Amino acid sequence: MKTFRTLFLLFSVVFLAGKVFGAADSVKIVESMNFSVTDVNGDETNFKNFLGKGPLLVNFWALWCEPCKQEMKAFMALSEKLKEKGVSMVSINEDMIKSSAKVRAWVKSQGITQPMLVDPDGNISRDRFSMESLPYSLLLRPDGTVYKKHIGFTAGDEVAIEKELDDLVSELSSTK
Amino acid sequence: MKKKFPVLLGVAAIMILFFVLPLQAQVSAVGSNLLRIGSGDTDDPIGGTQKKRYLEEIANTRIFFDNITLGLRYEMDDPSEVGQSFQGLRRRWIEYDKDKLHIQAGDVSALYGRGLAINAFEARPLNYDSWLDGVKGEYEYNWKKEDFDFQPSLGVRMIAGTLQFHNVVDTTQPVQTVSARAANAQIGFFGKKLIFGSSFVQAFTSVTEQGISGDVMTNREVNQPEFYINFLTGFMEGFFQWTEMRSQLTQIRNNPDSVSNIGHAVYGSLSYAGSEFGLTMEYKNYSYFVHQPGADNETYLSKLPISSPPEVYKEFTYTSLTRTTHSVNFDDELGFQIEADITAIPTYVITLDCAASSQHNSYGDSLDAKFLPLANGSTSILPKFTGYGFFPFWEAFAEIEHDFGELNYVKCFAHRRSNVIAFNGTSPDLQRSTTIGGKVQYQTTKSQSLLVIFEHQWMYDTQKPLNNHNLLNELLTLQYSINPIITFGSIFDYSTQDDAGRHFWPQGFISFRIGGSHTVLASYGAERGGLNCTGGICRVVPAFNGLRVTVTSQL
Repeated sequence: MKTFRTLFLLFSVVFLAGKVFGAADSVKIVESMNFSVTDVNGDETNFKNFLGKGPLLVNFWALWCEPCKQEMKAFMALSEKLKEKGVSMVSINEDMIKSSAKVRAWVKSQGITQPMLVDPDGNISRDRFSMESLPYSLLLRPDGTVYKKHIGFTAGDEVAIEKELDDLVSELSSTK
Repeated sequence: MKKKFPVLLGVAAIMILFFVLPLQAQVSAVGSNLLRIGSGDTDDPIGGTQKKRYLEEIANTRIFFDNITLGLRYEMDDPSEVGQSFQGLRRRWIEYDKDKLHIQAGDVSALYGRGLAINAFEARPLNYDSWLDGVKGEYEYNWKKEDFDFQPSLGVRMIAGTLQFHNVVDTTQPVQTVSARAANAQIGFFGKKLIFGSSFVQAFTSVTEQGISGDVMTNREVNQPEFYINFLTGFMEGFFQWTEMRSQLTQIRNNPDSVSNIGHAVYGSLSYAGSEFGLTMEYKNYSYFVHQPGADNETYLSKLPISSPPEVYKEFTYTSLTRTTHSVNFDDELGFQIEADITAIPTYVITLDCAASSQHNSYGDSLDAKFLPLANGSTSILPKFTGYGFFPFWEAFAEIEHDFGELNYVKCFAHRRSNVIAFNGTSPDLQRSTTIGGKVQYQTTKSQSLLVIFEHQWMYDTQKPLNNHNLLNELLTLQYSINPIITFGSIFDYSTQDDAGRHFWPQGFISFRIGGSHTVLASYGAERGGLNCTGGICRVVPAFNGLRVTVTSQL
């Protein structure tokens, strides 16, 4: 009984916190996006550089995660389709550092063109974006705030995500 | 009161961090929550079944203000599914991050090179945890190209802390207390395309066991230097790392003594990344503590828990292949892996992989001898397969994937594996398997899809009853998704070999997504037992029959 009481309390806290973060989404948190990242070729840049141009699709993936690779493929098609509306994409690999050579070989052989970041110790996914499991993706506004989050991916999700992207593009156009 | 206090403290801390701090200016926060509940039956060690229930609640939060981050994880296991249960604040740390300076205090993890000396990490499904309670710092300075054409960089890192390590592979092992400090320096050139790195680890371990007349303690001091080099060009990447672990037992079961061991580990990888072809070759030679079976002090001289080098074999996603995979003997194993990804043919991806390993020595066939003779000699460079005493392992895998339509694909694979799990000098515990299978995903409408996975396995397993070492395993997974809300399906697992009174393990599952931030996954039915491995560290997970519910929230 005590366990369930504690559990209920925890749940309330976490779900209510969701409401707080819902409100916080409208606050500019772009400063927290000011962190350095490394791409699959070993070059360093700042995550902030990917922001500011339009909606940004971020997909976290790993070699062992089949749905993540599916999601990446779907996002690549979406970002290509919506490129003229300012939509761009960045992928973040979550494999451990020991797999870096395999990741690089796989990325090159697949002809992937979007920026490919590596996050072997989970600093970006876990510490910055609160990732709990893969597949995980984010739709960010140009100011770095989160517009939508997605846990999991199954074929067909891209339809809903395309609609969200369209909505975000409309929202951004109306605020200009 | 004692039990209540940490729970209330955890809840209060989370409430403060979620509600109060985000209201301040320049503050942002992220949070996640994982709730896992299971109720049913599991196999017990004497061949029967016993009730099994678990409840794991994990709440994570990170609060950012300016350059400071606070991290907290509250856990409440009642009990946990595997390993030690925990109730309270499992993680708490504060970190400062500005430009290239990073300082963290509290719970800290680290990875230097590929982890031959320092890889303090956590694998939650195994309940494996080697994070240290202490401090760590990192600083890096990069010279600009205008200053030097070869763009040098200098990075220094250090970590120090303590750990109470619970062995998940052999749960009968006593808890090991580790107190460690390590420093690392990296010099990079050409924008870190060429890196030379070196580390030094000093650690003190202590094991307390039950003796005849009370607790007895064994202490060890470890000094461990390492070197590594990494290069990256347009097409090629290479990495090489070497370490030497010098162990000295300073006290053995309360008796002052001096027993030493010098072990080594080597890891290397070389890869080619082209537009139509990717190739990766890896090599390992781990001899942290090569010893005869039953040698004196074998419990105390193993690799440090804060070291975890690469396993050097493929981590598969097919259930039949992961259930009986190879558990790496990090103290004594050498081997290699070669993997190729071929995309030269449009709409096709071909993956080829092979891996092999063995121990360094093959010991004799006398169970009673204190010092067993080397029966089939030794090897020092490549794995050897001339006797079961080498504990040889090898596997080969081929997969072809064909994309038809947007997200529609079909995959077929074939796999062959041979693995000696144990050898008592006369007869081995040997598993050989050949597995074939396929996976098809088909979008029935724009927002609905069907996924079918089929696996068929021929297996020879000497651990099965003497008159029937051969068995067949079948696995069929059917999954249908109606996006973006619901996914449901069934798993049918069948074996010709009776396994704890069962031949058939059917299971149904359903997954709901609530908004983009929450998912609820429920499954009911029977699950076959097997190995659960992360990074070559494997834990035997017993069969389970009942209900599982997992709620994941990312806020």
